[in-house]
Amino acid sequence: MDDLQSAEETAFIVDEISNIIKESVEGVIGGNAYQHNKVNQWTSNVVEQCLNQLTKLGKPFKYIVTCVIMQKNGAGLHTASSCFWDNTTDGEMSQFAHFPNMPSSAVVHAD
Amino acid sequence: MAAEQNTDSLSVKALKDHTDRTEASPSGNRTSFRPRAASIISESGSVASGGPNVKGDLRKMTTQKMVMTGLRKMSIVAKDVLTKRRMSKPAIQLQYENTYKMHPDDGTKFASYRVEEAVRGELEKHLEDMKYDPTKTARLTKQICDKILDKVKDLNFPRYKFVVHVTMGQNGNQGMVEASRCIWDDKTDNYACITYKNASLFAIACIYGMYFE
Repeated sequence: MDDLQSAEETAFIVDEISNIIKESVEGVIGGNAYQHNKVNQWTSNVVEQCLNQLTKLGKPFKYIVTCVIMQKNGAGLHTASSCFWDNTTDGEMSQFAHFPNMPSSAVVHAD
Repeated sequence: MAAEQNTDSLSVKALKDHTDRTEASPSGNRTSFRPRAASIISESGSVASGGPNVKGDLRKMTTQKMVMTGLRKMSIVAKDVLTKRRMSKPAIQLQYENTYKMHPDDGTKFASYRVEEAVRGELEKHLEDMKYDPTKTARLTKQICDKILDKVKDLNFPRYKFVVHVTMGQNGNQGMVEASRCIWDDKTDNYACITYKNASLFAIACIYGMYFE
């Protein structure tokens, strides 16, 4: 099965994914301030848009997309991820976006 | 095939060596080729003697066409030499065949409740008395991530790939939302999500398990 597909098709290209995440986050949130009643929908939209764009790439991967949106309060936030997979075929990409009142980050894992 | 040819050539060589020796010595009986066998073993540097061990190796070896019954002992030793020489060479990279297994076996599916229990215990153990510290929390997050991954691996889900995602932050009465969505095979893949909060910090751990078909 792997012989039939070229190496390019099955590779995890970091730049493409990074662009997708950036566009999704900026497209959904834009320059808005943190609004408690809208945040749920924003996170869902970011994640959905990311996934839609990723599936359009047509690569034979399973995807996990995580998005965190936090109110800018002076509080600290740390994120870490650890994976047990095949390093040659699987990969991960994360983007941190700094909006005026809301830091938000999105992480994509593909395997 | 190549292995068989090698062994055949070696057993032929052994036969030739034996015939050379028997021509030299007048007696030419069976006991005459024992010293020759001993010298072969010493050349390869192995410790095995031509006793019960050799017979055990013979059972494991594939059956080869013996040259002559009289020379059986010689060709067994010759094969022993061949296998010992092969072991000293660098290992050939194994290529695994496709198992065509599309679903996990019964009882080995990623069980969220088991993972949740195990990870909740782990989080509580490590974070019970912790206070948020900007310099230390970065390292602590990575450590906890690795520990959770080890714990999940110990739970023994064969043919599963894991992704562990840990978010830790200061408990400052700010609003926060974390959302996650996945494209995978719903029947085989699953996730477990655990939150922990104390007076000064909070932690969210998401563990995703994906079946590797």
